[in-house]
Amino acid sequence: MKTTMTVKNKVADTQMAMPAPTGDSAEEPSLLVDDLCLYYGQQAALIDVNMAIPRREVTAFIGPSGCGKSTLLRCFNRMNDFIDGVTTTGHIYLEGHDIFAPEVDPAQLRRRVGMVFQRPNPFPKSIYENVAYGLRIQGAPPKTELDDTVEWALRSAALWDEVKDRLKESALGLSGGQQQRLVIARAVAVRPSVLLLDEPASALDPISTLKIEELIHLLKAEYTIVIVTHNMQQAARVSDNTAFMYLGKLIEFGRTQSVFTNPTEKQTEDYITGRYG
Amino acid sequence: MMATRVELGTLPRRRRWVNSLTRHVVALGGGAVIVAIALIFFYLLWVVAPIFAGADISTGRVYDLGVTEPLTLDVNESDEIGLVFDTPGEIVFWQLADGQVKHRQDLGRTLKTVKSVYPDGATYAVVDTQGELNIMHASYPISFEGDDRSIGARIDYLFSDLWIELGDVTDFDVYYHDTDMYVAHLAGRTLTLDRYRDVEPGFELDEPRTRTLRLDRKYDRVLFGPRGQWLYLTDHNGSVAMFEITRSGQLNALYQRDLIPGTATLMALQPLLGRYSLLVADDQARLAQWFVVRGEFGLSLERVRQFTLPADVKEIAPEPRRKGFAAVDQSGDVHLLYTTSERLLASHPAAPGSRLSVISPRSDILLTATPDGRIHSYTLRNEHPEISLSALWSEIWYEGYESPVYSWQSSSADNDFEAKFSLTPLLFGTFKAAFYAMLVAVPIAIMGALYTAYFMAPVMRRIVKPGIEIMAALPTVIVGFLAGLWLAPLIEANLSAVILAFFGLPLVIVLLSLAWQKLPGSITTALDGWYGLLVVPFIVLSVWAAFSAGPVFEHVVFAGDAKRWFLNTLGLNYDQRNALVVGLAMGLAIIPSIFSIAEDAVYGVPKHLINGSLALGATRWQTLIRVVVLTASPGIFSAVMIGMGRAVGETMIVLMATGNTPIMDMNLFEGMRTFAANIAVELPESEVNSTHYRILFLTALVLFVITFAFNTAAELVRQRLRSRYGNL
Repeated sequence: MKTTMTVKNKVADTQMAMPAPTGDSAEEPSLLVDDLCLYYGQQAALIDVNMAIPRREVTAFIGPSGCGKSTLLRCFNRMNDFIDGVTTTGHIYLEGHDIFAPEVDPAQLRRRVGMVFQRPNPFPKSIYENVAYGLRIQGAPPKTELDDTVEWALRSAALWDEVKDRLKESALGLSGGQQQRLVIARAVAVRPSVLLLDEPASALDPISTLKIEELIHLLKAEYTIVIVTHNMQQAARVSDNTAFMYLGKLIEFGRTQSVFTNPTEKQTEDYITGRYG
Repeated sequence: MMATRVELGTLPRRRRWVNSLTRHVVALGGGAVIVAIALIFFYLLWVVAPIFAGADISTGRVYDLGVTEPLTLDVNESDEIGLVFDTPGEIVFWQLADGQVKHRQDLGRTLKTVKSVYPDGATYAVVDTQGELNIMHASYPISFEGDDRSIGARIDYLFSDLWIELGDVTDFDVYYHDTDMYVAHLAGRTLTLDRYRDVEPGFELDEPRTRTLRLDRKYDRVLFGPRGQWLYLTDHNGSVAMFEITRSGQLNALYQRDLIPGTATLMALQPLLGRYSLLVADDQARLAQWFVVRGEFGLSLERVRQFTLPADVKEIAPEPRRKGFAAVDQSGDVHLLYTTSERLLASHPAAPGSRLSVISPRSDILLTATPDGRIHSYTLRNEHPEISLSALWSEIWYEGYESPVYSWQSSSADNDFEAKFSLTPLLFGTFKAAFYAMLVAVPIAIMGALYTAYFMAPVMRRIVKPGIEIMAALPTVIVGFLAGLWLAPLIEANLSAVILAFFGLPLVIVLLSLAWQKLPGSITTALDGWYGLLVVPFIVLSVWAAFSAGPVFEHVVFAGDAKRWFLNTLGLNYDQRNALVVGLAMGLAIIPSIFSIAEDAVYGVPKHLINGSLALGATRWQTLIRVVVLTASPGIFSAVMIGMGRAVGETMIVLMATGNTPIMDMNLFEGMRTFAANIAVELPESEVNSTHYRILFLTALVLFVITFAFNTAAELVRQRLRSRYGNL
């Protein structure tokens, strides 16, 4: 109880100080980053990042290669734990709870914070088993419930109509775009509150990319979405908020429209207008 | 302008040339591999094929030697000279090749019976019409004039020209071996056995010790059994009585039975080589093999197998060196048969009225005499009669056994030994050795591979993986040598300690894991990936503890003697060199192959799949079981199959650590003989192109086919698995 209190207070404190997108921020942010630093060995990869990611909106991370945007994304579900020699300082709060607290089980955290990678990575199993995987590892629910959840997840990922007749076939037979939507369905099936998308469309053709973007639009009604992208048009199209990062620092974070049309920082403007990156 | 064109022209041409050369060299290499394997296969097949070629009989020459009413025919050891005794007492030697008479000798007596002395070759017992017996010996001196080899022929009295008075006998038989000569003769209901001691060729015989026995019925024939240990008496109804000859010359009745059912009549009766078996033909075209079986109630005669021929057999001629025989039937056909393989090999029409059939020592000539005094020869081509599919794979009732068995015993000190060529015990042994080796190797190698590839700290992996792989370079002869001479006695002396370690070691590891769970997270995280190294001292310690506690354990659980406990309680016999030793030693030898391939497969599972699973909230263990093992399964399967292939074909370890006993028993504490070890043991001692030699090649072929089938099946399964799980 006490911890919750302090965390709440902390949230209230930091919210004032950090750059937050203007607009609809009456709700508690989904993810709150507080003085986050990350080092690969001695090398700093993230320096003093502070940000509040609003609930049920799409937040895009942009920036040149190596700026730390993917590293930051991986902090949200602690995937950096698997990389040797990574140390972090600072805090990240998921709906008010510190995800680096010692009592937090990273596996439990990852069920709340789903992730989709750049390259479609369906398991070498059937379409059905791919979607059911997240549920099975938590102890499989009854068959009918599992069926319902799989169908719901595939519908959420706008894939149901394409695969409903071949659920038992290998997922490896799907096209790249279908595979990526399957992976999104797989992530959605465990009902997370946050979806992290790490360049989800960069390995896909334009039509598949469009479908993924449409899907992101649909999914933001239910989930907080954080997307890393190299494609600025995509960031402009799909996101509500945009964060521009450079050399491990968060340079600018605001409503997408204002970041793209009226950047406050010189570096942001240079990047958006294509002077580097 | 010109220069540019030349440059453009030259480069592609050279590149084309290199490309084409490379393509051809690679194709040649690949083709050569396939050709080499095909050649090995065809060579094996070429050596093996004659086994299954079958036999045939063809008519040879007719010899008119001017003999009247011949009594006995024979052929010399080298199949060059024929020998005939006739009634007027003339002995004729002739060259089989051209019919030319080599030597002719007249005994000056009218002869009644001539028999070959058992078991000595080229020695004959001759009885004249006066009832007098003498022993004669034929010799064939070879002389060389320059490079020309010429063979002579002569016949002499073996001892002296003093004839022995037998009287009017129904039948007689002579046994002569070393310095003992026995003469048994039947007259009416009296059986007489004369025993001559310390006989020596060229010297007169001393007075024999004689035993006579009144029989309760009449018999027509007397025959010595194997090594003169007993006598068979037979009558024309097919009734047989056996009499034991004791050391002191006593005759004890052993056994009696009818070999022919009451409704049938005896047509012919002959002993097979070694005289354990009697071949009995009746008037219903049946020919049965009976032999002596030592059972619970002493010796008995059992009908072991029966042949049915197209017509009644009137004469049987056993082969002098093998367990086969020729049978001449009433319709005038001669048949070649073999007992062990139960085969009727060939049939051929013989001259009408053929009798006195005899097969030459090399089994390639059959001589018969016709009533007109002519002698007919037949050429036999019968190289490998011992082999049939059933002789190779089924249970066979061998001479002297109580029941049919699977047995491999290819040779013996005896000349009249029945070779046992069942491949089943060898196949069994091969798979038994492979099974126990895999039982040891597969869990260790695969779990080791999973741990090394998935959990181990990269620094440690860089040392451990090549370390294990280099174990594959350890010569198996050294592994086998250590297993046979160090490990086998060690295990035998500390059996209870080994058993204790077998159960204790996994327990210790499980307890360590539980203890690890209880350690604070800061320590486990810091040592993550080094757990394997931490366990090592505990493993060493627990093995040491097991060996220390072994005697106490043995005392408490096994009542002081583990080997006796296994024998008495579980009925398990303990051999020093056994499947446990082989399992450990060969397991050790195949672990590197399995480990290396499985480790590569697990390590090769794409990172993004593992991350995908982890990002869904799976633990590392769940990810390993549900994604990593699944994706690596084609590779792991390959690894197991390659290990299996090695275990089946491995030679030196099984040769040195199994005891090479061709038994069929899954008992962990007994040995086995495998195909590979059998070839290694026996091929150097096998006569080239003999049946034994060809069967060894057959085992090589079987081994080749097994490995081939395994690899093909493995590859097919692997392809299927890969199309399902791999390729990511």
